[in-house]
Amino acid sequence: MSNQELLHVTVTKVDGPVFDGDAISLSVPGTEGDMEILAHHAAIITSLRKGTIKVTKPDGDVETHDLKNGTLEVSNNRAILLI
Amino acid sequence: MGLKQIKNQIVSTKKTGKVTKAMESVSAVKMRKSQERAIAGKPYAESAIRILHRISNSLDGKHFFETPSDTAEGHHCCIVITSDKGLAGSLNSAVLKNLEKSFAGEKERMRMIAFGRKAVEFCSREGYMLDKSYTNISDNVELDDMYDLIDFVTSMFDRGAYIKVSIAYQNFVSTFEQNALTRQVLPLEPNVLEVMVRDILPKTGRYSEEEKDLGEHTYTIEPNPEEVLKSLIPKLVQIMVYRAMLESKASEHSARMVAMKSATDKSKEIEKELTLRFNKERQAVITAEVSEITGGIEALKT
Repeated sequence: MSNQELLHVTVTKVDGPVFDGDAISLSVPGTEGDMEILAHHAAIITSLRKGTIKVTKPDGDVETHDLKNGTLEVSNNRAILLI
Repeated sequence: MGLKQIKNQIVSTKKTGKVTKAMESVSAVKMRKSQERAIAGKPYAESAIRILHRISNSLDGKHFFETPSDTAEGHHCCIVITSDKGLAGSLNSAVLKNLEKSFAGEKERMRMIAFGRKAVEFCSREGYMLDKSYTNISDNVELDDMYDLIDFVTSMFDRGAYIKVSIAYQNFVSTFEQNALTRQVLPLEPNVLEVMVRDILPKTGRYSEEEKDLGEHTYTIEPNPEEVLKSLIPKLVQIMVYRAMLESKASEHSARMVAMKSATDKSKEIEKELTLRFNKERQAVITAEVSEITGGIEALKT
């Protein structure tokens, strides 16, 4: 697991980040269906629906955050979620 | 004035000076906190702007940002942000004066949302229609209040009850410089938003360094630009309102800090004057006593 490629994930509310760090994967509820983002994902912008975000951290722990709606931007191996 | 009275005055001036000094340091700490919060919200704002850019490039024509004609029925809404408490120099009066100037002659069409006690007082005094008001605002900007406010405003806007929403607040430039501003929130103007985000970092001081721009990218936009924009607009409104609230807070604290600093200085000055007067007065009393005694001795001699 140690040589797993990572991507940088920032989950942020308007007043500041609630999660900011490296992660193995990120799963989000997209409006067109759930999505799993791994390292080096193609650049994408998408809107999100109500649901739960799951961030799998390098140590295997999973951190979850609820959201009502939001927007996801992925570029340069960096995912930014506006919730 | 008697010696005793002057003495009392010196004591009370000293006490006032201590209070203003304490208020000054408290405001300084609160101001720094507000600034830090402003910086913490920066990635959000930047990312939102970036997304907006990508989308508006792929949308032909910016028909989402249409401005209604002046003849359209409906009210102009203005969110006025002031502080709850005074003792902050010309801070609140500057905001309110600017507001009156920006909407001169439109009083009948205006509907106000007051944020802070001073704004509520102003609206009832000047006869503006109040649609909603918030008082007892904590020093940290409460997100719940803000979401509540934004839900109300956007729903009124969607129904056509409001045709325009503006926000009046005090913009924080630096500790010694703040200026009152009135900005349009809805219909959304990308340019206004961008200026606002660029202003997040103060011109001078600890946080004034510039950040580099991220390179261009070709994005896949899912499901389509319109949908994404729809989900993005409330976020952009949030950014603008949140930003305005933070700026107001930072301005309030720095204005109070400066006001309290001059109050402390003045109290020191008065204290000095009074001490001088006290000493003169005391000297006069002693001289009088001495001359009385010598006078008495002279009288006894003869």
